[in-house]
Amino acid sequence: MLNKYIHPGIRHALLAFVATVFVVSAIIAVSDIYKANGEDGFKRTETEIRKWKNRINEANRNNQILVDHEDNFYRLKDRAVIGDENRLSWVEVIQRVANERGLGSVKYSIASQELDKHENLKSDFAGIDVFHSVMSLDMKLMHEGDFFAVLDALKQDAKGLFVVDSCDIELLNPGTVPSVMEENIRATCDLSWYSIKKSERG
Amino acid sequence: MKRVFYYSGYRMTVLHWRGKTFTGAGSFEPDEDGFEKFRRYLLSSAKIPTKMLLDVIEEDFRQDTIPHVYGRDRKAVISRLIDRYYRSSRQYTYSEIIGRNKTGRKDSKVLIGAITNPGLVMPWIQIIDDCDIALSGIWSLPLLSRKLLPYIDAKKGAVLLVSQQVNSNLRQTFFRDGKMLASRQSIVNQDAYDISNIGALAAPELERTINFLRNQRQIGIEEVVDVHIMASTDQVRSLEQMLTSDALQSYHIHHINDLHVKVGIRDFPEKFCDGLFAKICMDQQDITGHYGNTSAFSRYYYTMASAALYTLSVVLIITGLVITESNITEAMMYEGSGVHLARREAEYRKVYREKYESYENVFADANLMNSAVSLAERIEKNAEMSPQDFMLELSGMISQPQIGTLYIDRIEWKTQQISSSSKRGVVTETVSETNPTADGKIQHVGIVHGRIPVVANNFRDSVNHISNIIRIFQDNKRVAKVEALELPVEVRSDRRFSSESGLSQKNEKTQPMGEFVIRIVMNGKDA
Repeated sequence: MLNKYIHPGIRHALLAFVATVFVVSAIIAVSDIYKANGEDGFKRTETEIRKWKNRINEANRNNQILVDHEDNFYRLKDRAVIGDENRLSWVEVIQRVANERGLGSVKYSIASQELDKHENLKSDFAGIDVFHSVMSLDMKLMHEGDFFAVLDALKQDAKGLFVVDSCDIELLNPGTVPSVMEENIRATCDLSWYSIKKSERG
Repeated sequence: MKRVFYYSGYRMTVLHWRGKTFTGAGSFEPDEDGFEKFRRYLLSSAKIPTKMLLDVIEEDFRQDTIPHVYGRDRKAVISRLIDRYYRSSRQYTYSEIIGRNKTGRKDSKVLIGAITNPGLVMPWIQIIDDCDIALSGIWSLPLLSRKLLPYIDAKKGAVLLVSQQVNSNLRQTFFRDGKMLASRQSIVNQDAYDISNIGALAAPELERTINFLRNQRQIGIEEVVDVHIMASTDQVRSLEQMLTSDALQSYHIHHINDLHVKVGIRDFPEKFCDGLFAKICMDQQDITGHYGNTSAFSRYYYTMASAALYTLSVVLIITGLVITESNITEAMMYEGSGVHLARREAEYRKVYREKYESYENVFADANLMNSAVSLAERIEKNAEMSPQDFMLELSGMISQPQIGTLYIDRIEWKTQQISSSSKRGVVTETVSETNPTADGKIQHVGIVHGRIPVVANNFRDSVNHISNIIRIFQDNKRVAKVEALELPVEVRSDRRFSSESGLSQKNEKTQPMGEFVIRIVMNGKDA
């Protein structure tokens, strides 16, 4: 077959050339694989180094966070801002202020706690849940200073963090001059008590 | 080593060279014994491609004209011309366009040449072929002799080049402006061992040739022809004595030894010019010679292709080795660096395990702690917006003496939040309900219910009073917006207004009060 199509003058050279192409290609391919394996191993090790470096950096960063925020965290936890809410504390403060200032009527009710579902929480504070309980206050007061005293006492002494949602303060008998011992002001307010917990949803 | 087969028309001589140096020669007679010796020589020698140089008396040249055409047409015309003159010499013919007529159709001038008796050289070529020797070209000595002209400074005008390759023949080749136009070989009966009488033998031959060329009009009647004669030292005196330049002939005698130096030949005997032409022939780079068709040199072409393939194989091997070496070096470098990196990696791993691994559970909550504290701080900050702040600021505003008599009956307080978003550089602010966990500006929104005294039938005073109150509110730096929801005297176009005028009203003793409702949007302390 080979003799038929290839001139004898070129046959050996052609065979040598073809053989050379195969052998050289094979050698290059093998050496290339060898190099690729070496390169892969090198890159794998580089990746591992980066991984451990990152873990160390991450650990240092977390450690710094712990150092920076630990005090605040435990302060907030002690104030029942982080963790379970402490409704008893709120009620006790209201009762104490009412007694101390001799307030005529301070009605209050606390709705059941609800999970805050604002979208921004998912993106900005992933991994934690925010709950709020709405407290409604209905007070009859002799002076608006009593109203401020109740809110200040709750802010200072009650365990928790609240935001005043709304308030309605009105004179009970506008246009008349009240007696000194008469409750002339009615204040109704809605307060939201916030508490923060680690999300149980993962 | 290189060699040239030099065929003088009678015997075959093989000239061997090593670079510029002539290393030896062997001659073979054209008989059975000579052919056999030539065969044995070829079989025993290296099978190197070899050129053949012909210097035979049976080589004929003639000039003709053909229509000025190109390509295949020219080939066809020349082919017909060759058929007409040299039908039996087919493979041993040569043609060359040497110029154009200056008048008439301006036809092309063509030089055609042929070995008129190729049978003389055929046995030698057959033996070469039998011995698997690659013949790389058959060259004609007269045609090749033009290559010598630059060495003797004879490239211009009418030049007759005279040379002797064997002692029995004298080659005379005529050139005009470097182009060969005619050549003839004369037989001279010179003694084999005494060549000093060449002058007497050459002079009549030269005269005959020049006369022939003048008769042929190849040399003008009064044109001077430069006769360049190459001669050995033994021949120079004889030539100088016999050949005298005159008005029509100018003789130039060149020492063969000098030409050997110019051409670059070492160690060749000075006697004749065969070595000179053999060297020029050997140095030819053209892949085709003057005679013979392609098939005659197929062995040479295959040899060349074979050599090219071997060379390519070697190049391929070298390239492969270089690439392989490069790959291996790189791989070893990677391995070496990998070992170093692995050591570093182990150190990092060790540091992590020793210092941090046991705190992983604690660290896992660090981000949560960070988030929780940040969020609580944000809520705390937003919680600072309280009704006390609003009422104190309001109290400050209504305490101003220029505000006049004013009674506040009710305050409805809440907050609103402004969130900003940017799209294509345009910032849009949206007002929404307050979300204490969000990072937006929070404002007080207070709806103030109050009263001012109203003078019956003097609504203008009331309008001025309430306008003054609104202006004082608006002048406060923290107040962002004041909106009158209800006025004591409603004179706005989109509202309904009714009252009563008359004497009964003038007698009214008690002063009526006008109620108003104003909505105030106020920024926080820090805004």
